[in-house]
Amino acid sequence: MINEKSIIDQVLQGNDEAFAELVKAYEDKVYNLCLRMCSDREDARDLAQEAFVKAWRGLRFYKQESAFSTWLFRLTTNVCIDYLRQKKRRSAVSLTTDDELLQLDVPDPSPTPEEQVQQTMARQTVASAMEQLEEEFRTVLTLRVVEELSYEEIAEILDLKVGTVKSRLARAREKIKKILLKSGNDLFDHSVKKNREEDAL
Amino acid sequence: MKCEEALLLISGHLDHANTIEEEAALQAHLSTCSACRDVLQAFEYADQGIADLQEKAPEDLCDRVMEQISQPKKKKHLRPWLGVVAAALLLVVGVSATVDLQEENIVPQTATVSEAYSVQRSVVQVDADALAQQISRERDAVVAVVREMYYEIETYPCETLEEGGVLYALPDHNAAVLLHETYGCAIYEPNENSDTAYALLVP
Ligand SMILES: [Zn+2]
Repeated sequence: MINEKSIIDQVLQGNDEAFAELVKAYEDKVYNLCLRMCSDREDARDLAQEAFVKAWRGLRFYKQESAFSTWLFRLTTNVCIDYLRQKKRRSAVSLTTDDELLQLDVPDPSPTPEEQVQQTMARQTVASAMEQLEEEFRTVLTLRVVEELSYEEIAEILDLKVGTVKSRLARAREKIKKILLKSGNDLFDHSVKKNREEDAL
Repeated sequence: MKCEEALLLISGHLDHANTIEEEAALQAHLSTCSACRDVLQAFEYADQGIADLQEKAPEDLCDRVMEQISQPKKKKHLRPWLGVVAAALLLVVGVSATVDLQEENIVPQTATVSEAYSVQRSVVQVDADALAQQISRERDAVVAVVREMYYEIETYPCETLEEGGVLYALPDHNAAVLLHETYGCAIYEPNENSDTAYALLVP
């Protein structure tokens, strides 16, 4: 674990190079937040870059009253939401076409080609389900499930009450469950069926 | 317990956010309701699927960031439409200090007070004076710090800032000085020659 406070102090004293350590510490988290929010790798890279540059510029406004990560995720979330709203404004009636959907890599190198295809499809289904979720639900679900933040942190990032975070997460899960079922996700059916079989035993 | 109530607790269960009492009530319900057991299973599956979508950040992300921040700070130019406004306003400077700018073509963006403050709420901390100094330096502009909406600045084009606050493009240096003289607003200026001027609205 890096000593965040000392790095932040160094950056504030004009040592720009020290900022690279903060980027390295948070790049995966910031990138994945952007990726789930905008569903496009190239956009996610640009948004993550923008978020870090804004964090660097605005570092003197970080008062160290909240955790740096909370401040950074809040800034990143705002960058993504701004981007999504601009995009919406630009193309008020544009539907996502198939080739715009993410082509997802399979992380496990060992499966057979058949398994690989299945895994890729399952990942694409989940990614596409996330993409179909409304922004407010996608945001809480990403902050909770991808970034593993507490309700309190999510509440601070999104300016919500903790109770609202809790109920919005339940609704988000219910919504994505419906989307996945509608998309005929085999693994999803399988998992529910398997559960039933276990119950029957 | 109704299944609807259980839904909230199933979600809370996955986040380890239930109280001991809630957890006990949920387990009691689950032991008698197979529909809710399916929901729990489905939620677990979906959560896992979402978590599994994580990827490594692009290898060049850090280099790109470092390259961008190590570039010599360029003088920021106004967005084209701000330039148009500034030019248009320069022509009428001296005629009136409170020019009415309602023509659509030169005022593409205005914010109401409530919009301005709703932006404020989404920002963790704003140090208005530090921010004003930064903008003043970066944009080579005079910046007046305004803590409430005055009718003088209301109609000028504005932009919301990531760091917090709303920045109004003023017609000229004199407009900022006028805010200072009228309302006692603090003003920051990089030099006396700068004719780019802003009012920074913060709560
Ligand atoms: Zn039930």
